[in-house]
Formats: sequence, C-alpha cells, structure tokens
Amino acid sequence: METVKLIIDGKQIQAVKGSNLLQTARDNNINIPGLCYHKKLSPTGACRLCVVKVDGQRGLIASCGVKVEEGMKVTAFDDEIHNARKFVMEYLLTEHNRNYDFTYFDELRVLALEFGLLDDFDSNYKNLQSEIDFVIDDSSFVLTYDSSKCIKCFRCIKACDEVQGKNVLSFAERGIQKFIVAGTGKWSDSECDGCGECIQLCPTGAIVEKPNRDIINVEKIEKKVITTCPYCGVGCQIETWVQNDKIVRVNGVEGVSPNDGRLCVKGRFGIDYVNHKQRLQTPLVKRNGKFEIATWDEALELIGKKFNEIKGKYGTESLAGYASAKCTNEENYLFQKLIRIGFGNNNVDYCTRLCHASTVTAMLKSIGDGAGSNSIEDFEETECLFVIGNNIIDTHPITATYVKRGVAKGMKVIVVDPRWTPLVRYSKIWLQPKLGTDVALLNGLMNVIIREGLIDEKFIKDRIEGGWDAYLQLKELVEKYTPEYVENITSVPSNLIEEAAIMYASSSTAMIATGMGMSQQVTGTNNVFSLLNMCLISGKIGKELCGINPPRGQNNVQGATDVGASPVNYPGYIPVKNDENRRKVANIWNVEYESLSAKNGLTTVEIMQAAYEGKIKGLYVFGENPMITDPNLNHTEQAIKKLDFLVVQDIFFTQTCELADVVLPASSLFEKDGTVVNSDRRVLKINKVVDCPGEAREDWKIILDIAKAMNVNIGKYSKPEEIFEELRKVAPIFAGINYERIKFQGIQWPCPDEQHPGTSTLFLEKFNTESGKAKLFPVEFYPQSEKTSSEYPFILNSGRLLYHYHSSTMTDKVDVLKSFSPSGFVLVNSIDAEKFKLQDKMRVKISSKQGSLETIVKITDEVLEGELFMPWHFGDMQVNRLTRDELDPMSKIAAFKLTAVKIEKI
Amino acid sequence: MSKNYNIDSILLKYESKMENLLNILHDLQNSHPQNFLTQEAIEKTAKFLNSSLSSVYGFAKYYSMLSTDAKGKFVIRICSSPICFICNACGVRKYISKRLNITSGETTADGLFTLETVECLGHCDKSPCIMINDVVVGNLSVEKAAKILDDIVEKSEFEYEVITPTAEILGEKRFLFEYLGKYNPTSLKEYLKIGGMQSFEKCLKLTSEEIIQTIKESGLRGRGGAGFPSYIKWEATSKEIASQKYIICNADEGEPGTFKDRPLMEQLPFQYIEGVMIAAKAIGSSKAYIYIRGEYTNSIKATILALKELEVHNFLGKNILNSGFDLEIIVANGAGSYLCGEELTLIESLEGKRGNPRIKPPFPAQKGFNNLPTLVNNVETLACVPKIFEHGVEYFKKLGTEKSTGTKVFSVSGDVQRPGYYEVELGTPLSFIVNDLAGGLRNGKKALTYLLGGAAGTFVHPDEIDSLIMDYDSLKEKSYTLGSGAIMVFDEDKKIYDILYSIIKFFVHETCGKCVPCRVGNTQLRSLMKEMQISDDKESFLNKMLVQSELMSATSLCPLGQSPILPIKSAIKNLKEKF
Repeated sequence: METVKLIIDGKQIQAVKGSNLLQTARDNNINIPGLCYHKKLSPTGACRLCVVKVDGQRGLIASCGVKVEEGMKVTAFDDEIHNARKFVMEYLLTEHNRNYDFTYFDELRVLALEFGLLDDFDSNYKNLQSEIDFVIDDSSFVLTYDSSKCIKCFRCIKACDEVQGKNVLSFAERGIQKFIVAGTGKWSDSECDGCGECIQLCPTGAIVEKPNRDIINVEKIEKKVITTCPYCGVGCQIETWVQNDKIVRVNGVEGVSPNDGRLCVKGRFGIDYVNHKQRLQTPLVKRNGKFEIATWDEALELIGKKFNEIKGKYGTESLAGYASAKCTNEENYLFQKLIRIGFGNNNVDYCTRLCHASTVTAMLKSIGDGAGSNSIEDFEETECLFVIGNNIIDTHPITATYVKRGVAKGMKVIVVDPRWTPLVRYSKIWLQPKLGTDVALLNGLMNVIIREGLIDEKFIKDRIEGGWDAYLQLKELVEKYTPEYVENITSVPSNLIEEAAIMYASSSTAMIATGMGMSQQVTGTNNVFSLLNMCLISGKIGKELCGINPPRGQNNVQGATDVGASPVNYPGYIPVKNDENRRKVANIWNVEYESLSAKNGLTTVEIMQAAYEGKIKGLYVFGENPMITDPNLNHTEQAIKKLDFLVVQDIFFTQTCELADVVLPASSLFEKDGTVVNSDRRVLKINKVVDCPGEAREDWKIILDIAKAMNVNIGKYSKPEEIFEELRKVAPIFAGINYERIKFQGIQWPCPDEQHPGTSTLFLEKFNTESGKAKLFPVEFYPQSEKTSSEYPFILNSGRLLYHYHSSTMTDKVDVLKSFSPSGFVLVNSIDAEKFKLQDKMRVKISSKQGSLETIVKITDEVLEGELFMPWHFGDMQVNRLTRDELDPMSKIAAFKLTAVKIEKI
Repeated sequence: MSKNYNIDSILLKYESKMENLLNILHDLQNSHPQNFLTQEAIEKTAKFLNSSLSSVYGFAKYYSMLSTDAKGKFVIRICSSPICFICNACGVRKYISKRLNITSGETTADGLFTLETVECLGHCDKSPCIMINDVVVGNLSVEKAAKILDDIVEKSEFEYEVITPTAEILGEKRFLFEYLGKYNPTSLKEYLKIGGMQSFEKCLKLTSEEIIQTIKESGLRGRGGAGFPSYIKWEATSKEIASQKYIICNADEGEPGTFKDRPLMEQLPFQYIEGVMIAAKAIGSSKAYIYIRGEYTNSIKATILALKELEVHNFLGKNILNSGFDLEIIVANGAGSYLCGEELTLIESLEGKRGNPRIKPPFPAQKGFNNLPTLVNNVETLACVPKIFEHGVEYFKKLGTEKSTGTKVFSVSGDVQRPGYYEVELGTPLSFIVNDLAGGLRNGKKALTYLLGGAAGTFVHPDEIDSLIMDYDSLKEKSYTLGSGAIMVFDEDKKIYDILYSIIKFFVHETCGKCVPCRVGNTQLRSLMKEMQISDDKESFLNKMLVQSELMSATSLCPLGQSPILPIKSAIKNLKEKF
C-alpha cells in the first residue's frame, strides 16, 4: 500500500493513498464534524458538515468525498468553514424536532451543543416543522421510526443495504418532505428481520429501539460490558448496557472481529430470557413424583450419594453426561474432567453429535481437522462460494452479511439445497436436488470438473495421499455420474450441474460452507466425503480463501469439542485410546493413569439407547435439552424414564427437567466469566455482566460442587481463568492463548505459543493427518433406506429459523422473537396442497412410523413436490417425535433430515 | 380505451435488470385502467428484478409521474412553469378545477379525471399548456379547455393539434435544423436520401483518435448548459479500458422555458441518433441509452420508431454495415424529475435508483453507469456531430465566434409576438433574437426583464438587451448565463416577485433532499418570499435570501443547490426596485 503525506491544519499526516480524508483526519484526532458519514459505510455527502478547504481547489469541499493524495494541504478549521458548518447545523435544526427523552444516544444533540445551538437559541432561520408532514411508523416489533427526528443522512438505508445486505429501507417522497420507508411503507409488512443495524447507526432519535424504551435512560446506565453473544457460532462481540442490574440494551462492538458491530435480531434483542421470571432460582428435588424446593446442600448431597451408589452397584460404565454447547470452554473442560475422573468412563458427549458429527468424522479422516478452515471475513473475499445444505442467512446471519457484501462486489454463490433459502436471492446458481441425493449430485459435479479438465493436477500430486493413483480411483468411480445420469437421480437439470461445476472449479479461489442438510442423514459422512473429494481434486483448499467450513450452530459447539467434551478425545483432539496421551493427561490432572478409561465412551444417541437398554442408569445433563433435540423423542422419553437418576442443570425448567430427579439452577452466559470458541476457531472472551438470579450458580462452580459431593478431586479453582490456564497445558492448540491476549479481540487456534498470532486459514502447508496429506474417499451413491410409501407419501425435512435458537428455551422467553415467529408450521408445495386439499393456515396432523404431531400448513414453492419442511425448535410441535434414530454408521449422527410422513386434515 | 392489465405478461417483456425499472413502472402504470402502480405490481416487480420492495417502492415514490394511488382514466396535468404560471395557466386551472370540482391531486368521484400540476412541459411556445394522459395541448384558453372536457365526457376522446415544425424565419441560421420539416421524421429512407448516415458511415472507417480530433478541432461545446468543450469528455472516456463503456444521451430536457431538444427529437430523430452512433464509435461503446423526459411522449415515440428503422436496416445491432462494429441503443423514459437532467443523477435514475446526485469525482468518464466509463452528452450536442462531419470542421468553425463555434437553438417564450425555437449562430445579439426573430414584445408593451437560461438562470435588466451577445464567454463576463438557451420574456405588467416565487417553488419541488442546504434552503427561501410579500421592508428579506442562497451555493452537493443564487442575485442587482 502506497502511503502519502498530507497536511491538515498545519499537522503532518501520513496515510494510505486514496483513503478517506474525513476518516484520516479523525484518525489523527482532527475531529471534523459530520453526521452522515460512518466508517462502515460508503461516503454519502448529505449533511455537508464535514466541509473543508483543499489548496488548489475552489470553494468548500465535503471531506467525506475526498481521497487523500500526496502533498495535499487541507484546512479543516477556520472562521469561514465554521460559519458554513454552523449554517448547515442551524438549517438542520429548523426541520428537526428537538425534544429529547434520554432513550437513545443523540449525535446531533452533542454536535448542536458544540455549536452552541442546543435548546433555546436565537435561530437566524425560520422553524419549518409546521410545513412538513411528519410520519411515525411504530409497526415494527423492534423499533420506532419518527421522521421528525430524522436528518435524512442515509445511514440507516446504507446500514441495511451495505452492511447487512438486506436493502429493506428507502426514502419516500423527496425534498423536505421525504422520510424513511421500509418495504412498501409499513415496517411490519416489509422484509425487515429486526437486526437493528439501522438503530445502531442512526445518529439521532429517528430510529429507536422499542424494547426497554419505557425504562432506559442513557444517562443512568451503570456500566457497559463487552462480551460474546450467547447465540449461534459466529461469536459476535456485543456491548451490553446495564441499568438497575438489568441488561437494557445491546449493541454490536464496532471495529472488532468477527462482526464489526453487526448483529442479528437474536443478538440484539434476545436478552429478555436473562431476567425472565421463569429462570430457575433454587435447586429442585423430586420427592414422591413432585418437585420440591431444596437447598444446595440437600441437592448436592443427594447427587453425590446417588451417582456413587449407581457407580458402586452397576459399575463405572453405568453413568454418563451430556455436556453443553451453550456453556463456556472452562465449564465443559471441568465437566469432561468430572466424567473421566469422577464417573470413571468416557461417556461424555453433547448435541454436536446431532449436528456436525458426520462432517467432523469425514473431515478428520480426510484432512485431519473438523473445524472450519477459513475465517468468517473470508466469506466476503473469496471468488466463489459453494453453500450446500446450509441456510446461512437464517442460521448464521452475520456470516451471511459477509457473503452478501461479497456478492455486491461480484462474488459468485452456488446454493445447493432441496428447499429455497433466502440465499438463493443472492446466488448465481441454485441446485435443488431431491432430499438425500447429495452424493450423486457431488459425484456428478466431479464428473464435469474432470471432463472439463478443471482438476488441479499439481495439488493432487503434491498434497493428496496416493497422489495420481488415488485420483484415478476416484475418477473411475465418478465416471458413470454424467450430468444426465445425475439429473435422473437428483432432478437437477444437467446444464445447471455443468454450470455449477465449472463455476466452482474454474474460480481462482473458492470456499465451501456445509451444514446440517448434508450432515444429518444416515449417509452424512459419505456426503461430506464426497464434498471433500470435489474440494480436493479442484485444489480448492490449502490456500488462502479456499477451504471447507461447517458453521457451528451454537455459541460454543466448537469449543466444547475442542476442550474434550467428546467420548473419544481429550481436550485438543488427543485420542483417549492412546496410552501415551492418557499418561500425559493423567500427569497434568494429577491422577493415576490407570484410573482413566482407555475405552471410547458412548455418543449422544448411544447414551440414550444404552439407557433404554438399562445399561446407563445415571445421567448428568448439563445445559442440554434432549427431550426436544434428540431424534425419535418417544423412544428418548422411554429411555430417560428408565434411568435410576437424572440430574439436569439448566437456566429454565425445560422439557427434560420434567423427567429429572434433581434440577439445578444454572447461570446464563451473562452471569460468568470464561471463553468460547466460534465457528472460525476464534477463542473469544465471555465477561460477567450481571449476577445470577436467586440462588442460581455459575456452572463451573456447580460442577466443582458435584465433584466435591462425590468425593472426587478434579482440582481447585477460584476463577475461570485458572481453569483456562490448565486447559492451555492439556490442549496444545490453545497453548499460546491467555485471557490478557484476548481481552479485546479473539485469537484463532491453533496458537502454539504466546508470540503466535493465531491461524486464520488451516492447511496452508500441510493437512493434519498423520502423513500431512489429504485423503480421498470415493463414495458411491446409495438410495436412502427411508422411502415414501402409499401410507407415508411425503419426505419431511427439518431445520432452523432465524428467530429461534436450539430448543427455544431461551428464545421462547423473548417477546420480540416470539412476535416475529410465534409458532411452528409445515411448508407444503402448492401442487401438493391442491392434491391433498390443504389450505394455508390449516391445522393438520403429521405422522410417521415413530409418532405424530399437529401443526399449521404454510403453502409455498420453497419446497419441492412431495417434500415437507418443519422447524424443530418448538416445544409444542416437537418434530423429533417423528424422526428416526437410525444412525450414520460412521459418525452415529441421526437422520433428522429425512423422514417418511403422511399429512392429514384435522 | 379498454386496457388489458396483466402484470406478469408486462414484466416478461423486459430483461430482469434494474436499469429497466423506469420503463417497467411506466408500462405497468399506463396499462392499469386507473393509471397507477398497485401494491401487487410493486411486489411482483421487486421479485422479478430480484430486488427489495423498498427499492421499487422508494423509486416510485420519488418520481412525480409515477403514482401508488389510483387515478382517473384521464390525468390532466397543468403546467406551472414560470411562463405558463403567469400566462393564464392559473385561469385555466381554476376553470378546470371548478368544472370538475376537484383540486390538484384529487380524482373525480366518477373516476374519470385526476387533476395535477406539473413542472414545465417544454411547450412554452404554446403557453399555457396542459397534458392529458400522454398528449400535450397548448395555446389553451378556458373555451378550449371546456370543449376538451365536453368531448371527453361525451366521447371519451378529444381533439388536439399535431405539433408541426416551425418554418424558418429570415435571420435564422439553420444548421442543425437544415432539413427541419423537409422529410418524414421517422422515415430512414428519406433521411438517407438527404445524405443522412453518411457521417456515420464515414466515421466507421475512422479511428477513435481521428473522430475525436475532428470534434476537438471543431471547438464544439456542450449544449446542455455548462458549455464545456465536448472533446474532453470523449477523449477521457475513450482512454478508459473497461469490459463495457456506455453512451448516455441526456434528453431529459427539464429546464423551465427550454424546448430546443424537443424539436430535434420529434422532427429530426435520425440526426441526433446518428450523433449517438458516432460518439459510440469514437469511445468504443456498444451500448447506448437515450434518457428522454417522460413528458416528451412525442420525442419518445419518434425516437423509438427511428431506432427500429435503424435496426431493421442494420445501422444498429451486430456487425453494423459489415464493419464489425456493434451498437445497441435503448430508450429510457424519465418520470418527472428535473434533477435527473444532472448527469450523475441521470445515471442513478437509469440504474433504477431514486434521483440523488452522486459525489463527484469520480466523473462519468471513469465511473458512470454501473460504475463503468460513460459518456453523457446532450441531444443538441450530439445532433451537431453528424453535421460537423457533413459540412466539415472549417464550415462549423466559421459559424459562431472564435471560442463559441457553431449555432445554438434558443427557446424564446413569454410576452413576445412569436414565441418559438430559433437557431442562430453563437454570438448573435440578444436583441436580434428577441426583437427580430421573435418579433419583440406583444401589444407594444415594454419589457420588465429577460430571464436567460431557465430557472437556474439570470434576470437581465431591460436596458441591457442591446449590449448582450449570446455566446458562452460574453455572457459569463457579464455574470449572465447562456445555460440551456432559454430566453423568457416578461412585459411590464408582470411582477418580478411572481416570477421569482414560481422559480423558488420549482426548486422546492425539485430538490431531491439529499443534502441539507438544498433540502432546507429552498423551503427557507420560499418562506422568506412569503413573508416578504406582506412586509414593507422588502430589502431586508432580499438580503436574507441573498445571504442564504450564497451559503447554499457554497455548501450544496450538486448544481441544484447552487442554482437559486443565480436568479436571486441577478434579480436583486437588476430589478430590486420592482419588488
């Protein structure tokens, strides 16, 4: 980057050539005023407050529209400029309603004060408010727009368009009468999804948050704490505002990865649950079939006694634990330590098994790492993005903003999904295969890539185990998968298969984002093998802006596995079966090496099946809700009922709590310190914002309490930082990370030492397999075992929504989110609707061999004929009553995505 | 007049590109029996263009010709330009309003009529005029209006005069208008017969440098208003390397009192299109747009017919006349925004956006339409181009003055004997145009003032008429503007206050509102004028207007905010005592 020297008000300044003059001045503490400019947005030139003089140019020039050049001489402040700015400010105030209610931060007000124009000043100009038809749009669930406070700066419009890629806002009318409109004039009828980026960037009170507006007073905010969003795996950095010990507002933190200030509707507005009256505040113990309030001592004593009893009576294999993808690394680390030392087995797993187990299995075998190979920011920069089985706009809204920004700059997106997802709008090609035909489709894409000579020969020879010979085997296998042959299986037109293959393989950089649509099938591992094969022969991995990424669904799915909440691995992906590993870990943990089990533990669904078979007798569920999330819920329910003893530790009384013997009140992510790991392996800090309600406790303390009650020593810690320090020693991928280093900005593992900056792209030099090379696993397509029949004529797909999270324990407590998405539904193709005489909003019964439920019909063309889709979040429409627990043989993931069902009118 | 309204089939006529939004919305609106854009139409258009609702709705809400409210079968738009405003349009409006029992913006109960006001219709030579659906009716009187309304009520149709070219007047120098009225405007055959397209064919054999060199040597200056040497833009655009370059012909003639491009498009469409074709060859562009203001329905029709003829005969399309040169020309219809005549705003509009000006630089030559190199030229400028090649540079240079070469079409309107468009050599005295060509003032009246250059123009003191020479530099020296070539003449019975008020009102209507000084300032100026009217201390108000319009000019984003100072300052300088 070429730097230039310029002079502003006599001050010598160095800047990158072509950078924005206003920003350059501000970066050098020359605070030129301005209201329409924001560093995240393209310059607008609307407010004219940033006018300056530039030597050699005529008149006043808005500095936001000037690019710095060598030798530029700028006057930022003199009397003439001041008068011009004051004139503009005064003009602005003549059309502006200056009543202020302290519910928002007002940049205009601050600036007016600087110009001596606050409140009652003697204006040179006529007040024009009576000539303007002001409008208020109060229809949105999350905000209120008041045009009398609007300075028409374009910041909200650009926030929505340039930053979030949604383009929901525009102006209506023109001149002094113009005002902001969403959609066709009514916010609640527009495409607005409530992310609130416009609120965050509004410099006045024109767009203000609705929640908490009745209580907030920006001058009475007690503290502002930066922490990590508790929702999906993006790991957005949020600033929470606390008033009267309550979080009253959340903003995105500007200038910090991974979100640069952006948030989604859950991150900004999904906080009501923290303070919700239904939070568990005391331990509960079930006596004679009824829950009673208990003291911590009573509850803990009972747990200690029961777990020890079961262990004594049925042996060490009779206990198991579900760890939590929603809790911190430190807590999950302690949890697995308790299981391994206290329970004496490796029966620890969690919902990752239900999401990406197959992805991780395939990736570990093929490339040696199950984590995403790229950074979230790369989603904006790569040339081509291949998104398969991943509804990224709804499930990872902030990663999606990078995608949309990339598209605006020319990135090509290929979407592969049997269902329409909002990303289709941004894509060049949408392939819509029939459910469960992914392997055929991917083999078909490879067939075209090979035919067109788009393979990367050098990459294959240098970086794939077996080199050319391995490739030839794959080539032979995919030979029969011609586009026409694949069209017959998948129903994707052959020309689209060709176009997509060429687009992906001929791009100079290309990334893959894969999701639950690929992984949650009985062929899940094979699907991902096939995807990896395509990635590898095209050489689209092992270099910057290339790779494969399975974005994580919950805030700490990545971290929980990283820190050892796994039946097969110790923290840092060290296999439990390996003797040497066990010795090393035992040494750090200060326990006898023989006391650590050498046997792989049971996985999530296996634990349930073992419980059903009476092999598991006691279960410790830590921040999970299997009674919604597990497949074949009727079976799960029976299994849980067979347990001798169930402990559930949660923040709400979940569906699983109902079946527990002891329920422990835990902490939300705002009530403790710690760390989490997001989807791009970034270790992010969690900071305590408020205290736990009532007697609820921080989870890491509860785990230690239980260990103590069992008379097991899992270490002494006075704060989470001490746990992390131990974790660093056990898991080499975290070795270089400490709390101080991630105070302001996360670090991506692997980070082997304290000087290491972290790793933004994996596999640049080698893969993490033993040989350092990647492996191809050619796979044939096999038709799915689950088939429609005359009795069950539909295939049901399931998935997530933007407004809900996991089993909706948290989101169900948030009014805003419930308003946007009050209940479940089933998507039905319009042709099917006609055939089965179904109408929109009709209540129907859906049944599979496993069970049945009632829901509401939504007619759409987003799904193919013969296919249905249901979101699975809702407790009153438990989709997993229908799903099967048939497992992918390799990863043990269940087939959530594919169930034969029938649909009946009620 | 039964209308078939099928949104889907209308949309299918277009490619799914934002640049088609203007034409799509016009089409949808015109096809609806109630002349408006329904919610469904907006939703389907957004979906069709793979865009958001607000990008279509906000767009429709910007342009005054587009409506999201149902209208009558006949939409009557009454011109409120300074000329029509003071030449009895008010009387006609009052009559129509009273007769239909509605005011501006309303629709009659039977759904037959909607009444609206519109900014200058560009027919000031036939003032006062109104527009009924897509037909302009001029020289209107109350009697004529009554007859039209009667006819509509009885027969659902009305009679109107077809506009014919005006004959040459002694003293004119018809160079652009050399063949005006001498052949059928939309017959390519006849155009070819008089030697048309020979300049283009000549240019097909020339290099880009050779063509631009000719333009440079001719001294041609932009006729849109700024008078900037044309070759500079041509050269800059031709030097850019890009996958696609564009030509945009700016035919958004909206400056009040200006109607010079209209006869060029209505009567001589092949000539200015030939100019577009030569420019395209010169800069290496294969795609051109002609952005015609929506009210100019005859210009749009003539241009579309001419383009079709040219396509049929391979003067347009692929491999034109076997030269290997490709060119496609597309007509975009403006929708009622003065500001869209400003080149960067026009580009925004053509991209399917609201008419907000862009920050300059970058200039269109570097980043114009779709951020690609774009040459934007006025109709009259482009119409000169084939004539320069036809008659040679030397001939062209002999016309006009040393620094303002060639001819200029002036639009003379107001209180003169013969309002109309007159082509003369640049450097012709103002008095000759007004008194000799336009026949001087009507009814032996004296002049109050002459307004040169339109609303963004300057008032001339009546005594100065003999000393003013009409070329770019002579006028600039005296702080006057040639601008678009509008000359509006007002006799002693008219009031400078009324004229200035109608201009300020025009700016209030036309400011896009993007930048603060222009958005607020024009309303402030209007409010000062209202106060001045009832005040005895006119001077203090005039001074306030001067100070504010000066600050507006210093701080505004685009030329619109820099415009009010021109009429205000010149009115104060020359006509202060008449307020």
